[in-house]
Amino acid sequence: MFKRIIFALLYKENNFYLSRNFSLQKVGDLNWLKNNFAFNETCKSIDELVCLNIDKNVSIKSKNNFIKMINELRKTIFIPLTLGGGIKKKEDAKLYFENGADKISICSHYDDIGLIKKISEEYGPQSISIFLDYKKNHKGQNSIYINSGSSPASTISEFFKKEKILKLVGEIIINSIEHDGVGTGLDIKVLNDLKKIENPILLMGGAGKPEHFDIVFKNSRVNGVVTANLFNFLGNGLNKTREILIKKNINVINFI
Amino acid sequence: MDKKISNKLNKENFVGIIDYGFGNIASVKNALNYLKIKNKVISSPIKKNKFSHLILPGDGFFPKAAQIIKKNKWDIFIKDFINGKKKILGICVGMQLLLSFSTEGRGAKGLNLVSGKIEKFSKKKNFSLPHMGFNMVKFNDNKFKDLEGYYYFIHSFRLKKIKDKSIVTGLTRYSDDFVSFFKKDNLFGTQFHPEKSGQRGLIFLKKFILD
Repeated sequence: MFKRIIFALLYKENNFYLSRNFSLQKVGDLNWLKNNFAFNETCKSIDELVCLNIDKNVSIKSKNNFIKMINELRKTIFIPLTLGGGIKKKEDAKLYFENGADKISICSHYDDIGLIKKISEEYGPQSISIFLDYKKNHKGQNSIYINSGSSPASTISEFFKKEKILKLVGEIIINSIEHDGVGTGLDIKVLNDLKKIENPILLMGGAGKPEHFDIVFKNSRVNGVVTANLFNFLGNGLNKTREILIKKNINVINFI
Repeated sequence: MDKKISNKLNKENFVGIIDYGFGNIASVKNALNYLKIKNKVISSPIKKNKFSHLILPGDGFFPKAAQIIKKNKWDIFIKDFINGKKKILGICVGMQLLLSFSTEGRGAKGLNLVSGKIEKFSKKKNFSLPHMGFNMVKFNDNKFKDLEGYYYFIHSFRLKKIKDKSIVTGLTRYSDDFVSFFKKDNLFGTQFHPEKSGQRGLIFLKKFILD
């Protein structure tokens, strides 16, 4: 199966953000993205787009503004879309599906089997991705952090023993807080904690240049790489990355 | 591939998009708007309508989708429309619903407009489920041949084969071959999502409507 190059937009209160080790820097609104970043062009060279509302407490107003932005974005972008951020109940997921999500990302409630089951039964497991932020805990184990990286939860290996949840969902996006926005390469070692699961795995955090994709795509367990770095892949940066990977015989799609 | 997308509003066609609570209605609508094709989302069957084409989108759990489509009498509406020799396109679960049966969940009957059975992909190493992402569609229909290429898929159940092989117009390989596009007279079905397949998908939709 093809390796996917996925772009993630981090959104909060009408603006998009760059994140580096989870500290945020405002970059601009949707017009900025379209005009200065030629985002519509970027979208011709990516497999999918992820949009996350990273507001810590997603209020009704924040939710509505996010949806408004998504609906504007969707008028000119026709690629698969994953929406996430603030999903606490089935209705939150429903709102996203009704507003163009092909998949939704469950972040802080990744462990809530009741919630996941309800969504899975209605929309199918393939439409749910689990989005996990992780970093090393004091014991050196990869540990999941919820609430925008502020509260530690279970370790990754503990969570992946929960076969019931894994059967109810599709892919797993695994985002390294320590590699986030640094651009020095992805954390391939985390795959050691994910050996037994069958779900597609997307690695996020640390992609800064084409070689970084090359290295992880050689691993058969990695189905895709997610990058949120607006500046490392400015303009046709991701298109060039794709060209380089094709030349290196990496199984990515040639969209041309 | 003809990459041109016209800026002129196409008034000759009027596409009805069936909203039965499953699937990406707005994405289909946005794509048609982008293509400047007149369209309308309908959330209940309209007996007297002026549609030239229908699109039945779909995502999600087959048994529930099938239940709703029958409960709200969309099945009758669709059959009447087809009898009027007008074209309909089923997308993903919308396509699957046109078949006789799916084994998803405890199994459920479809609309039986095409005989065949939707089954889960057989388990194989290195082929994780759901089958998700872009994959190659090999067309054997002359009209669509130049649009051969990558389209977006997201599904775990597929149409492995149809009795009537002559209606198979597109095949895709994921561990083994399955039917990704069929055409039975004025009845079209795609397992892939043209409305999510970038430029190529938009042109596919345009071709379905204008050709």
